[in-house]
Amino acid sequence: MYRYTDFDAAFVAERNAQFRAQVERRIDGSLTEDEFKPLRLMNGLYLQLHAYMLRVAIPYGTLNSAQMRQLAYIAERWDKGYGHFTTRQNIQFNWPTLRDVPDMLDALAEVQMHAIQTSGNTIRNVTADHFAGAAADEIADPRPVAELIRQWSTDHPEFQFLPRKFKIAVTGSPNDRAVTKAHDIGLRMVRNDVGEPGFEVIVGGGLGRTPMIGKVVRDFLPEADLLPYLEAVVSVWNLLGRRDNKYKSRIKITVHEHGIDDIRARVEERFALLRPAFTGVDQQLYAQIKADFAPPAFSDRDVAPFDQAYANDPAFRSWADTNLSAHRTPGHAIAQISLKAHGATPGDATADQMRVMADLAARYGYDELRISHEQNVVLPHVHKADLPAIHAALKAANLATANIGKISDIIACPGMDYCALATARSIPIAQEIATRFDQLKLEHEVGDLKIKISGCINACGHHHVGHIGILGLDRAGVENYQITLGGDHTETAAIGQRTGPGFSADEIVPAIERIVDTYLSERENADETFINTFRRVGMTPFKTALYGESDKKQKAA
Amino acid sequence: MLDLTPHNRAERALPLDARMAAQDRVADLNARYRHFGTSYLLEAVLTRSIFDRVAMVSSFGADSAVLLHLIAQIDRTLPVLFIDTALLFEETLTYQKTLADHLGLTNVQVIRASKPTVEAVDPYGALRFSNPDACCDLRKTQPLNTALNGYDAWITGRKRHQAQTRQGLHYFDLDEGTARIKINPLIDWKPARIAAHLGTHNLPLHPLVAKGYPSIGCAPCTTRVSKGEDPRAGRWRNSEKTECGLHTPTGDAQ
Repeated sequence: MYRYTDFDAAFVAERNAQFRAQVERRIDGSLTEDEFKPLRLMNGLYLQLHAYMLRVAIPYGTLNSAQMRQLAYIAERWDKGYGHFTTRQNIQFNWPTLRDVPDMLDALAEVQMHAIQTSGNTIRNVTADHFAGAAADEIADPRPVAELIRQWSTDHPEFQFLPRKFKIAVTGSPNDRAVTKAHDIGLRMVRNDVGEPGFEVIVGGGLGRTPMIGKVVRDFLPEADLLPYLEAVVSVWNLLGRRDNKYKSRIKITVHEHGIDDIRARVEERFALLRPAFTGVDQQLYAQIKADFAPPAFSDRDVAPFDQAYANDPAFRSWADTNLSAHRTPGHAIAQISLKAHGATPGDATADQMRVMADLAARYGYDELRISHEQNVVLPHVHKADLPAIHAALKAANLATANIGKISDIIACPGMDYCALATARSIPIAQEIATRFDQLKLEHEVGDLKIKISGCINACGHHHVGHIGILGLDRAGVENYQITLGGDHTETAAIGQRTGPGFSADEIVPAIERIVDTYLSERENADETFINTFRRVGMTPFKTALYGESDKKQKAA
Repeated sequence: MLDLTPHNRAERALPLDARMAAQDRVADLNARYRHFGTSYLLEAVLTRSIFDRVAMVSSFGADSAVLLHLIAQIDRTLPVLFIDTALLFEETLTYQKTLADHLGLTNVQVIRASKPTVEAVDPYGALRFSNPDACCDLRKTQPLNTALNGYDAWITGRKRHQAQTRQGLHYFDLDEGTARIKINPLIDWKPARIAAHLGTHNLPLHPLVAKGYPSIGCAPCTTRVSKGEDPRAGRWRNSEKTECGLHTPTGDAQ
C-alpha cells in the first residue's frame, strides 16, 4: 500500500502543530467557539450531542495492521475503548476531550493517518471498493486512482471553500460495491473498444434530503485526463453551485437545475482550458503510486484444511458461506469480519477487537485490512487453508457473526445516541431488528436483504438505497420512522419508494417483520431475493400488508 | 348450502347490536395491528392485555408446531385447548404429548364432548356418514364453545392460502355466533415457510405427515393426499365440506 513521502509526513506534522496551537488558544479563551469552529472542522473535529467527535480518514478503506493497532491504542488511551467505522470508510472517536485531540492527531501521524478534510466544504475522503485489489470480478485496482485523487485534492487551493462538501468514490469492478451512483462524482474504471483504460464519469448523485442517482457526464475518459477533468467538474460547480441555500448547494442540485447536457458542455470547455496545464507529472506520480499497490506474493498451498473444516464444522461452514467472497487468486478468499453482532452497535469495534483483527491481518492476511462502507472489516487476502484458524480467533473475540449481506448486517448512522443533527434514534432500531430476527432464526431463510437506517433526512445511513430503508424523523417531538422499499446501492442503483405513513419507535420493527413476512409469502422460491421479489410484484402487496386495501380496491370489493 | 346445524342456529341468536359492536372492535384491532409481523402480533396479543382471557386452540396437526412454538417463546402457561373427538388418529394423541413436552407447554387442556350428549345424539357413531357437519358440531364445535366460555379471544392457525374461503382472512375476525374474537397470526404463512420453520427450530413432526397426510383431522374423515393435490384435499374427500365448522367462512371483516 501507499507509504507517505517525506513531503506528506512534513505536511501532516505542520498541520498538527498548527492545530495544537489553535486548541491551546481555544482552551485559554483567546478563541471563541465561533472562531475555533472552522479551524477544528478543517481537522475533522466535530462537536456532537455529548462530546467532541474526531473523524479520521481511512483512505479508500485500506489499513495495515500497525495502523489498526494504533487506532486501538487511541481508542483506549483517549476514548472509551472503542471506535465507530462509518459508511464513508472513516473511523470516528466519539468521546475525546479537546485537550487530547492534538495528541491523538500526532499518534495518527505516526502511522501515516490524519483527519484532514474529513469535514468542511472540501473534497472529502475518497472512497473505493472495499474488495479492491482482491475481487475476482475486478478490471483494475481503484486504490491508486483514489490515492492520486487524495493527493490532488488535499489542500487544493481552489477547493478549500466549495459551496458544500464533495465526495468521490471509485470502483474498478463492474459490480459496484462503492455506491458510485450516489456520490458527487463516481468513477467506474472501464476499458474502451480498443482496450485502453479509462473512466466512466458519473456526476450529481447523492442521498440526503434530495436523493439523486448520478448521471453519466463522460462515458469514456482516458486515464491520463482524470485530474484535469475532475478539476474541471469541481471548478464548474464551484462557480455555479448555490451558496445562497445550504440545501441546494450540492452538485446534484446544480446538475438537476442546469441539466446534464449544460453541465457537460461547461465541463468540457473548462477541461479544454485546464488540460494543457497537466504536463504529465500527475501520470508519473500515478505510475509510482500504482507500484505501491502491487499485489502481495500469494502463497500456493493445499486448501485441504479449509475443506476439512467446511465439511465438519457447521459454524465454520455457515460463516464461510456467508462471509467469504471470491478472490482473484486460486486458493484465496476475501473474508469479511462482521461488526454487526446481533444486538451490538453497527460499525463499533473495541480496542481488543481491533487488535485481534490487526493480528490476523499481520499473521494471515498479507498485512492488509479494509473498512467497507457497510461498516464491516475485510481481510482482503487470506489463504483458504488459514480460514479455520482465522474463524476460531474471530469467534473468541465475538467477531465471527455469520451475517454479511443478511437482514442483521444493517447500516445505521449514529442517530440521536450521538449526533447533533439526528431527529431519531437509529442504533436501537438496528439492534432490535438484528436481535429479533436472530431469535426467530429467520436470517438465513430470508437471505440477502439490505436494511439501511438513517436518523435524519441527511441520510448518512444510506436508507434511500437500502432494499428496506428506514428514515427516523421528528414529528411534533415524537420519533416517527418512514419506510422505503426497493432501493439499490449497486450498479443498478435506485432510490427506494416510500410505503406510506411512518411508524412509531415501538412499531417500526413490528412493521419490518410484517414486510419480511410478506416477502416470504410472495417470493416464488427461496432463490428469489427480497429485491427481486419487490421488482416482480411491486409495492402493492407490501402496502396492503402494512396499511390494508387501498380505498379504490375497497370500494371495488 | 343451507346450514341448519344447531350450532349455527344458535349463532344467529346473538343480538344484532352486540354483533355490530364486536365487528367494530375487530375492525379496530385489524387497523391497529395489521402492520405487525407474526411474532410481534403474538407478543402484543399475549402481553398487552388487549383481551381479558386468551386461549390457543390447537389440533396438534401437521402445522400446529409452528404456532405453538412461537407461543411457547412468549408464554408457556397459555391455555392450549386440544379437542379430542375420540375419532382422532392414535398418532395425533401421541404427538400431542410429544410436542407439548418438547415445547414445555404447561397448560394443555383436552376437550371432549360429554358422554351423555354423544350417546343421545349419535348412539351408533354413524352421524359422520349421514351428516358430517352435525358430527363435527357434536364432537368439536360444541365442546370447544363450552370450553371457551370465559375467554374473549382465541388463537387459530388458519392461513390464507389454505382455502378459497380463507383468502380474505385478517389477523382478527369474529366468531359470529359468540362474539368471541379469533386471532390468526399465520395468515401469510405458506407451506415453504412452515416447513422451513419446523426444520430450523428442529420441531417434532406429526408422524402422519411423512405418510402422506399434509392436513390431519379425524381418522374416519381424513385420507391421504397424492402428489399435486391440494393439501386439504384429503379432508372430507368426495364431499363439498371444506371446514369443520369451528371456522365458518369469513367475509371481509376488517
